[in-house]
Amino acid sequence: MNDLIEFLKHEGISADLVEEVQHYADSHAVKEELKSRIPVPHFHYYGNKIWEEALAALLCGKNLMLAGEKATGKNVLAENLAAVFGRPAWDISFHVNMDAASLIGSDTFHDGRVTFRPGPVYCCAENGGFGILDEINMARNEALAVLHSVLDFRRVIDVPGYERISVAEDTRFIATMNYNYAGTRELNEALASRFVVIQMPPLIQDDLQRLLKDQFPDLTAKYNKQFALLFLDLQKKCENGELTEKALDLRGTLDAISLMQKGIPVRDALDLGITNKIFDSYEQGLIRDVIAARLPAKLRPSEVFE
Amino acid sequence: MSAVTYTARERRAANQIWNAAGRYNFDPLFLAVETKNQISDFYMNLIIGLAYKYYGEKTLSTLFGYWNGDISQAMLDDLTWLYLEHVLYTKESPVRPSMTDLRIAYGSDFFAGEYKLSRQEWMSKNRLVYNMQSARWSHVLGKKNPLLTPIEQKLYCALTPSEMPSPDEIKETILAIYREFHLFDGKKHVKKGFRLHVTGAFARFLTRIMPVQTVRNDQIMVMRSSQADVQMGGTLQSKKRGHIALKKEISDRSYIENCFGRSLFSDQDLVKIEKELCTGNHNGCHLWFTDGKYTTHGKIPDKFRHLRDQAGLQAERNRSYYHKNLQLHNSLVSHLTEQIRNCEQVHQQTDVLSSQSGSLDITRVWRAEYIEDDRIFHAKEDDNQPSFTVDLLLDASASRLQYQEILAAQGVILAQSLLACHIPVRVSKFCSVRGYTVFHVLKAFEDKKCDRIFNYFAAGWNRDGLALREAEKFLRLAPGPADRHLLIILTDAAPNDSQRILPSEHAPMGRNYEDDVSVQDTASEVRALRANGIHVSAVFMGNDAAAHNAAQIYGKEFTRIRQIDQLAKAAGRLIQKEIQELTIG
Repeated sequence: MNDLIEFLKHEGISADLVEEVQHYADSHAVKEELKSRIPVPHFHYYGNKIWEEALAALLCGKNLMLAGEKATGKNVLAENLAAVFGRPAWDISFHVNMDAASLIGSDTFHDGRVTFRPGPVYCCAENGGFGILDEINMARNEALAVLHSVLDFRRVIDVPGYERISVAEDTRFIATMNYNYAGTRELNEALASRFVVIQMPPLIQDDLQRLLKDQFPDLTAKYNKQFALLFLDLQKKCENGELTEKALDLRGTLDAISLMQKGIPVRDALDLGITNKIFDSYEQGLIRDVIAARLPAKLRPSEVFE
Repeated sequence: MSAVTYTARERRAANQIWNAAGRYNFDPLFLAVETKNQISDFYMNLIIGLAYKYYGEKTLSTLFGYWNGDISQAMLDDLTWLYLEHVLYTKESPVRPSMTDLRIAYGSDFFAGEYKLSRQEWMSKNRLVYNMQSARWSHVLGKKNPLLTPIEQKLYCALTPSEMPSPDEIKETILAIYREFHLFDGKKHVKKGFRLHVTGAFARFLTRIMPVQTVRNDQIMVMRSSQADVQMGGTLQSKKRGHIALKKEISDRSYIENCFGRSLFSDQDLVKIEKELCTGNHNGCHLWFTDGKYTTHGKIPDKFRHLRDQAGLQAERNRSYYHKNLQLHNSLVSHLTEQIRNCEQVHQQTDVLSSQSGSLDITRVWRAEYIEDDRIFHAKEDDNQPSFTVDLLLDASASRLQYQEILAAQGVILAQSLLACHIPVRVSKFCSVRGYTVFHVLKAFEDKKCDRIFNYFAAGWNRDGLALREAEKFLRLAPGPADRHLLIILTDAAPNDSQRILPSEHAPMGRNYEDDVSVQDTASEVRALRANGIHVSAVFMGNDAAAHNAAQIYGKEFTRIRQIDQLAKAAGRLIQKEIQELTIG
């Protein structure tokens, strides 16, 4: 956490906001058994404006929705936020067959009695955690209706047949969504109105280069720039519908560079990290063209690193 | 959005150019797809893309437009690209590490190609261009420079400038070089075509022995898409022969049967259906429902044999076009399948059943205790029964002549995607010839293969109003495995038939089936279909004037496409909308 506070200061995020976050984290204790749930981020999110908006919203007690295309850093930011506030996080991945029971909890049969088994939203609300509702618009709207009372001014969970519990004061929900993802739907207005919505901008070259430098400090400046530009070239191709979004995989690019560190030839590593994830041979050809337009065929890993 | 139809190879080349340009909102003037060496094409596409990046679309089209059509156009194009290659390489190579290797590979391929050229190919090469290229690539590869005359030496230096001209300077710089070396004086020198205007008997004789431009009439002519006249904005229309043809009803029927295939109904049934459907504006018209199979008995007259052979040839062309671009088409099928499947998955209804595992149903817990029934849990089962059918109805009038292969391919792409999603699909085409509106089923609901869609060919007119009546009738007679139906029509929203509307109280002299009359007629048929519970949507491809007609006929339920290769995608969107509506409705 300290590391993140230092990072925010270094990034030039408003000193008042950083101080308030630090104060918040120091003054809100976490139970010992939940400490393992406080995330330790692998990546930092870059973008001062978005950081300041997100910190301000959470400090005001609001729930946050991060809307944006693939590879805009929604989940990285959500994880960074839980970490900087020092709160335990519950990751809840939404899918089409999600129902109210898988969010709040369901009945189970235990010792000859029907008992309530709490779901992730319930646990999060009870313990003042940060609930990360990943790809919230994958679920059907009727399944999401149970969240209304949790997210609005009532801040309660009322499970039929059991007690009504109040949502702990520290609890926040951070939803992520991608409008263009295959299989997603429009979020209903009632739910959307319960969030403060941040539109996540696409990654820009500078931020990408800084991320690559963070992850691979020994990458030469020349190839740090080339890998960032390669990712942006693929991003542009996806935006224009020439490639599917599957091809836009920042994790894949980072994985490929890791493989290069282990001595795998550059083009092969990029095949393993990016190209081979697409099973359509026509698209594979397009991706290889993008790579060939940036990196020489005979480039050796030793030339990429200092 | 691209406004040009590309083959798989061209689309990949265009992608290489767009990628280098960093923009995707233009259609490149040049594509390198000619040589057999992929690296050479790739390097040239990279250069073309960089030209768009640094000089922009407008500058390039103006520059190459100066000598477009000039007798020296090929030479000037080649020299200009040689100039641009040098300046763009010099500018971009410091920030693009791949360029040096690609350039060397291109140069090596240039000299390797020398040994493969035939004498004719050598003769067709422009000597000056060859010398300039040879000098450039020798320099790149560090070879000894070829022998150049002092003037050629000066030209080579001019084509290898030390500084990159700005977008404002480039046109003038290049024109100045060509002026200096007397290659182009700024005025186009066009080689005029030989034109002869003939009339009378000589004209009749010539039209027999020379190629002629397509005229839409009631005589079936199956022809190559490439033969259809694109430049003239479509086919010309002549209704004269239609009136003469009307007088020969019996021979017309045999003509239709021989051209399009056997009727799916017996004569008696067909008469009944005609009585029911050919009323009002369509009084006096005839119908023909076919699956494209020919009756085998009896001797086939030569003129019909020829037509069948031509139709067979078109089917082969459709098939070969599809397979030539198989990679791209498979890619389109898998994308469309994925989109429709996702949409189905998101919107599908689930049935809740009692089961031995799942989430506990507390109202059934007592059953475990007292009657030893362990099905006390809820399990969800997705409803995989098809909830609707799709009918794709393709306009197959002569206005589609230029697009036959692409249209057939798009039909196959859509049908394959829907088959993969277990959505029943039927593909049909319609056209009107000699007063017959032919409804040709290319793929029935029960067909597991889409191969017959390749039998698509275009000819004649389009009496949309009557074709829609036929579509509804056929839908009632062969409704497929679901109760709900979506009918998607590919249309140019310009219904037009040689068969006039017969005289009636409102129009004692009769009327042509065209313009407002045919639009109103088609619109009323669409309303009737919708009133009968069939969901009608249209994919419209036509000019701006016809867009107004499309709105009149289909209301908001149409989607416009600019190029025929967007048909499957557009139809896919309409199907996804239908799936969404199913869960609401």
